[in-house]
Amino acid sequence: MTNAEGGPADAEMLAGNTVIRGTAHLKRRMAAAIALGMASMLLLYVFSLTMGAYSLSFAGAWDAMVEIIKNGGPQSTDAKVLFFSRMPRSLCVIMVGAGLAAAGAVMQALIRNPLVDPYITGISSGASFGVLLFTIGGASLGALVNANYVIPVVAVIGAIAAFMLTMTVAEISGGRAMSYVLGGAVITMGLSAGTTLITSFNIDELHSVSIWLFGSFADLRWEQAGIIFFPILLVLLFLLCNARSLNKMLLGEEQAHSLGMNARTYKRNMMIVVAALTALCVAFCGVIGFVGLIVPHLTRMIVGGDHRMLLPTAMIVGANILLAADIFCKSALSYVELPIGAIISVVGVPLFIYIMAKEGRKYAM
Amino acid sequence: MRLRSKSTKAVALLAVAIVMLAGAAAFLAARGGGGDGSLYEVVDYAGNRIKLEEAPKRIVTLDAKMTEMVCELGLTSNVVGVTSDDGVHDVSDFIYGLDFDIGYPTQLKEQIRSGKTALIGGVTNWTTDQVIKADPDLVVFENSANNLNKMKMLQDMGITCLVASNTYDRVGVIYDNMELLGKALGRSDRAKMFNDGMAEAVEYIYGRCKGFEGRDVVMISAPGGTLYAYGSSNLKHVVLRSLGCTTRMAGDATGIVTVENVLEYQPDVIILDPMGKTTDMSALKRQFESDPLWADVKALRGGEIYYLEYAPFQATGYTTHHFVHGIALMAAIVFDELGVDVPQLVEGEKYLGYVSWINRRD
Repeated sequence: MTNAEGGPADAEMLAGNTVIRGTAHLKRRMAAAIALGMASMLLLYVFSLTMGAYSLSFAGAWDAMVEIIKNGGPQSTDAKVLFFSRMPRSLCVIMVGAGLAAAGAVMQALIRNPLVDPYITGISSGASFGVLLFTIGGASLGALVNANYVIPVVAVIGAIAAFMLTMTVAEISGGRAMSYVLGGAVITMGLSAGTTLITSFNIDELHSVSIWLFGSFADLRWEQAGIIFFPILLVLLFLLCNARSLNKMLLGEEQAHSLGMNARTYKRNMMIVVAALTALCVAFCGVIGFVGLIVPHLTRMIVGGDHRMLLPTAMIVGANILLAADIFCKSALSYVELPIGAIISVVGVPLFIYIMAKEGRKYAM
Repeated sequence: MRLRSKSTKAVALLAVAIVMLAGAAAFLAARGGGGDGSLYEVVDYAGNRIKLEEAPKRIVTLDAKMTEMVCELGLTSNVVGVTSDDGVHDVSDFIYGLDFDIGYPTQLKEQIRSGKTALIGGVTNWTTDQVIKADPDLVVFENSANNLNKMKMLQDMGITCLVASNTYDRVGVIYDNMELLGKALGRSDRAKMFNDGMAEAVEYIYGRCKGFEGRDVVMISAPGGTLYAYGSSNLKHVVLRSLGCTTRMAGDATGIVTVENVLEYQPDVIILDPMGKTTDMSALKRQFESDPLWADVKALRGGEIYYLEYAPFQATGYTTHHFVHGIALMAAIVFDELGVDVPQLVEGEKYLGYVSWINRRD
């Protein structure tokens, strides 16, 4: 059931289909997808630098870039907008898109259920809840410490706590794939109720937390980009290095165990890594659902289920999708920004329904 | 003797007249407290046709703005339930420009402390059970989907509901709500007195600002550091335009903006508020002043960004007669010609010092 290197042969393998084909054509597809994805990401990145509330044409952005390079930093307003606002923002979007997509793909492998993602399993909500508690309850603390450093920490704590709860609920209810979905749904509902309770008692503070409830990349700077960029990058590299082990996990814990893995421990550790990755992703931009769910699916259709191909491609596709969505959010209306979490969900819901209808029956739930 | 008798008769007649007048006044005061005492039939903003048989003795108000108006009408002691927006009840006990002793919110707070007035949940999460428990003759609230959903149940329980407008797209809506309450509660004269007082104060502010060169202004809230520009139909922006200013950056609706929007429109004056209690406006001021992008904002360079703390924010966002303070504060900020030296960080109750100029009326 596996190819020569121990991984599943293709997407059909993941679906439980016994048809096995070679991986050469998938590798070719992956190379094409990554090349195209990188090219489009570069184009979108350049495009994103020219889009936003402040008018900056392509020629203006080019001049601004030349100015930044020539002077070693920005001096004109155009160059400052480019350097301090748009470059770090788009970089954050790319990292978060890649991070959420990778988190979704890994989670689907670990739980062996392609209909889960960090949002469905409560991790995103946990991170968001942590940030909400800090923002409303820890306002006095916020005055003492730099919120930029505290927010990712509380997001990670919230995400891991929520994930632990989901794991516990799932394990005591049999540890099947569906247990994780139901456990996550229950924990998400609980966190949602907590969020509602807290905000209902702090109704005049609702706007201060809405950014984490709706999702937005508005006004992210190098300071925030610096905080999340390298940790996310490290986790992504770590996940890429684990692609082969993730392939083994697809075979089930017993099979993985027979291949020399301590599957249970590995699964737990990897889930913590995914929770931390998700928390870093949502720490500054709030909850963004569906990227972790839809992107691995789209990618699997192209390159199959082998994580050595799936993960890098999903990262590129995730980055592209979120970057395109962010460009839309900041330029659709001239006077305000749209919340990216809502926009992604608007597109994600029908896509998810389509995938459920098409693929749902294939998976043991 | 005859003269004495005539004189005695005259004095007696006078005494009777005085007693009758005093009695009538006491009767009117008991019913209307300075109003004409008539309970008019009114049609409220939910289409309810209301004609009270007698002045309500037990009133529940579900919005702090309505609470203030009922108190201004002299019915504070009849208020048996309010929502728990203590932050909004925490306004100044007087209003410059309106020379009335309103005793709000001090008396109401005392009633809440003593338990005479119950707290009926929050402004959005009050329940019909809580209202029914307070046993009101009348429930007053603003027109909102949340309130209207619960209104039907209250009406089914035989409780009269009076719904005020919540579409504050002009200052006149404040007068309209006061007039509605005055008519329904038999305090038309007192309502008119307040409305006339506010209209006069507003007129005075507009008169003082007449001829001043209008500036381009935007009002932004910054809860938790996220920037939301108020929409152009927000009363703050409506007032600024009526003072001769422009509000180019304001979009159709309130929404998230970034410094890029500010750089694009480069308004002359930016007025920031916290839209809540937790945002540290002095920290926000320091943050903006050290930010390389904000450094290119014309208003920041010119010292024309004003950071309102919670109390002055309430003045500009609290659509009752207290809004006189909001208009006066916005005018004082925008027009240097008024000679009011408003600092960039408008701290707490200190803002009252920047609006007291409206008392200097000739």
